[in-house]
Amino acid sequence: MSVASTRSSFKMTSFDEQRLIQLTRDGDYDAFNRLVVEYQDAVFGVVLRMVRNRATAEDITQDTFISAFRKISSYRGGIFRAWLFRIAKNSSLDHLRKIARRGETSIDEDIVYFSETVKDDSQDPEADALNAELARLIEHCMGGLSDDHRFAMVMIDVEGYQYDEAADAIGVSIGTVKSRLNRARARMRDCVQQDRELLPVSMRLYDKEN
Amino acid sequence: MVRKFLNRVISRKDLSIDAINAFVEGNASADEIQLVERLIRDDASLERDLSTQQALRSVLGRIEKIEAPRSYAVTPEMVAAAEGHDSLLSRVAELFAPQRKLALAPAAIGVIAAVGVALLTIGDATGIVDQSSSSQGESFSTAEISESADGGASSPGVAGSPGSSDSSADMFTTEKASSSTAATAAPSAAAAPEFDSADDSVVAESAEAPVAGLVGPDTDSQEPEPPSLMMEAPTNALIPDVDEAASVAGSLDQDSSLQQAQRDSISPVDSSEAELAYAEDTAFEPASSNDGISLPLWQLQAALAALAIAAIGAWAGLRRARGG
Repeated sequence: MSVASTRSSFKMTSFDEQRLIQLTRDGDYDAFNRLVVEYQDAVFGVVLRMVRNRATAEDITQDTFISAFRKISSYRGGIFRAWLFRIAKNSSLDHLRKIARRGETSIDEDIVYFSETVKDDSQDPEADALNAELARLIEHCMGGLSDDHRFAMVMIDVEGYQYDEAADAIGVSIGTVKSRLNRARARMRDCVQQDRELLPVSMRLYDKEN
Repeated sequence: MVRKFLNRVISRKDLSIDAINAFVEGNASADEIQLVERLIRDDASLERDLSTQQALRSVLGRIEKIEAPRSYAVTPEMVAAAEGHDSLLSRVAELFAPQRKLALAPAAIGVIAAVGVALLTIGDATGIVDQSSSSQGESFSTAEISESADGGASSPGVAGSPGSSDSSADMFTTEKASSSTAATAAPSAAAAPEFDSADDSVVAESAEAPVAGLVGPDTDSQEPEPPSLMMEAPTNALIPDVDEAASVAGSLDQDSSLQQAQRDSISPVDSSEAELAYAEDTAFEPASSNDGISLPLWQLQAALAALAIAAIGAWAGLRRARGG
């Protein structure tokens, strides 16, 4: 089997996607693995931001794709990526519930799981350091959100998906997604305001004025 | 009327949320902008909040996307392993998958059974529900009869009185150990003439022993009949008739009346009469003649409790296997 381990180099069209899904239904692993290569970054990113543990996120991502292959017959149209996200979200929430039931904390606060920093065009090392701190602050505040609110925020504000796709992935109406996002933003605002010196100037303007 | 009002409030709230979200995302239409401006006029702090949210969203949008650290390509081995890990339970759960509500059936059964146990327990405590006259009721009656007959013969309460000697206490212990056999042997022996006439017969001993025990150390020579001898009583004599019990009590009454003067405290005659009256009142009345509902209570409670545990366990297992 030729499994492409590198990033997909072509832009998959909806037609390609439906054809690959049909081939997967017939048991074609190669066809399914092209879908995997297309969506693995997105799935891993969302799962990692949900469970906030790299090793667990890797396991859940792998399980998500295995489950998707096995249950491909239950996919009945719609946005395929949203269907994948729904499987990933259910697995992530199961994991979070399990650790909550055991009273464990799988989140190691000493480790920064998000190597990425907030993008900044300036080449200033000091600004880079501040951005890294800001990224940590954001991650910390996102960790304080409820699972539902966090998932809505990750899907729309971080990953940039549309409301309908997020609603499909979460399995709720678009109105519910909007409501959750609204509350999540309000809570994030309250949280990040507690560490004002890390905030961009635009977010501190009103404090200075007041 | 109320619904209309609520719908208006909710739709207004939805409109506000939509408008605020769109405003924060920079996609607001003219109407939405107008609505947000009106909201800001009503609440000045909203402008600052919205501005902060806009800035926050812009920061979130600038967070770099995460790349998967490796390939998550699926192989036939992985799928086979996953299928191998599927337990029988998860296969059962799969059966329920198309009708998710059906999976709630075990939970419903469990809850109903648990409520049943609770009701029976409350009913038992309050006396509404009582044990039925099943096999347990019968054995209880037999025990009562044995005890009453034995009480008429040996009067355990009297034997344990301060006036009794150590030997009588020992005798009581021995007789109590074989209480049911001794008691059941008594009436049957009373029916046999050769035993009835003899002073040292089983009947005489079983009837007189406690009385003699009351007298004091003189009775040391009297030893209780070995249990093996008493065990020879026919099994059909396990439940004596009232007449037989009365005859035993009568003979006891005659014997004990001779020694009445020697006793200063409790009268075994009264005691045996009381015991007999008790036996007549309770033992020969069907247990089901109570006022409350009679049920084989503990069996029912145990069965319902087992059902509740099994059903709730099955439901939890199904939920777990289904991953929900």
